[in-house]
Amino acid sequence: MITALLVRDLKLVARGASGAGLALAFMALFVLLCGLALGGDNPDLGPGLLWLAATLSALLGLDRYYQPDQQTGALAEMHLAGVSGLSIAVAKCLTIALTGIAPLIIAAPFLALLLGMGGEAITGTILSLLIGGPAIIAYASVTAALLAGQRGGGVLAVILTAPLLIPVLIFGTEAAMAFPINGLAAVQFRILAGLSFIAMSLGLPATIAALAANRGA
Amino acid sequence: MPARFDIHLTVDNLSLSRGTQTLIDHLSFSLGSGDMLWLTGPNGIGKTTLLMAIANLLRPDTGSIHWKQEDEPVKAAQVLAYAAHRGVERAGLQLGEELQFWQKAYRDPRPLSERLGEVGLEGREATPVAGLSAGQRRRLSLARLMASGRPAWLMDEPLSGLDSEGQALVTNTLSQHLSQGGLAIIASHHPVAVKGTAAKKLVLEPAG
Repeated sequence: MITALLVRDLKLVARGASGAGLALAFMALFVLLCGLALGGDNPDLGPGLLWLAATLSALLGLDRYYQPDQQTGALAEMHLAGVSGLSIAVAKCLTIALTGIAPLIIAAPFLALLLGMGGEAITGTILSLLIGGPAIIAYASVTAALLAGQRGGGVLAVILTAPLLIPVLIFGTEAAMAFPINGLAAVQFRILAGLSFIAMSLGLPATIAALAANRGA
Repeated sequence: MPARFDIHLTVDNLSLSRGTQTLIDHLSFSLGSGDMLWLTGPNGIGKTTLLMAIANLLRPDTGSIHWKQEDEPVKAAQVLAYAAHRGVERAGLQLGEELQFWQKAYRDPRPLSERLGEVGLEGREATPVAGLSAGQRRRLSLARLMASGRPAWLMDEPLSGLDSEGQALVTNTLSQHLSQGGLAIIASHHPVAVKGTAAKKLVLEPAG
């Protein structure tokens, strides 16, 4: 069932195509503007800027994941059809990963070049984004599910999720900066992985609970 | 035809409200296999709200709703399929993709083309949902109900937007469902003339 849900979501994203491209454009613009505002090459700021850009971009367009299915009643019908909340949450998290986060991570090395970052710093940033990615996905999923019953709510999504993402942002940046010195053995990577596990283990049940609450159950 | 389903619904002392407005006040009824309930009344009186409560998509203020299948208590989500007035289909999908998804969800053994053929949409697999007419959307809803294989069908305005052929399709399908021991609750402004059984009529009226 998860495969069927995921295929359906990916088709909808591929045809709707607005949100994913917009997030990518926002991230590029953000990095570009930071480069201009800070003036010249600031390779030391690179990992932090990329993490900030990726996090904020990921929170854009959260209303495209659960909201349309909530408003058409498809989520309620899935519940009636016996599709479990866990299947829905896992499928949506995979959709967020593939269409929301993956493009940002793929774009990150190119944006890193704009910031004049070196090879090791770029590798470190990408690895830290990959390890911290599940945390972003989990919190994005909870927020998207909570806001599914509301109209709009885009800015509210950023405000609600930002506090949860602060530790991820801190250790993601720290891990990226520690990579050239200690490699993947840096303790920051382990903390980041831990944050991702916590986020997933809290995020999935919270998403399921939010979906049930939206249903009125 | 041998009965395929054995289903029973008991609604006991049900009260529903929206905001501060009471919509349904202490309603009790029961339905069994082969029964159809026609729910009617003016706009905004609470027909859809009642359907949603019966589908357990809304918590009642008081009272209870019990489903029994073969004399065993079951959850609403195990026995019913609900065709809301506004369909659940997503505009970005094609008709075939949309129906196939629900066939998978309901574990429908029949092939997609057969389901589309049954509701007069054969060969329309690749039609975008966004391009469907209101009547075609109702046909899609009907196909979803048929694919569900569930004994209880809840339908909100099943005839709206349908041509006479489509209306006949709905009534024939319903008649067949009821003759197999199914149960149906229909919210509609127009009577749905099913064969072989007399519909029970429930008229919702303003208080006082």
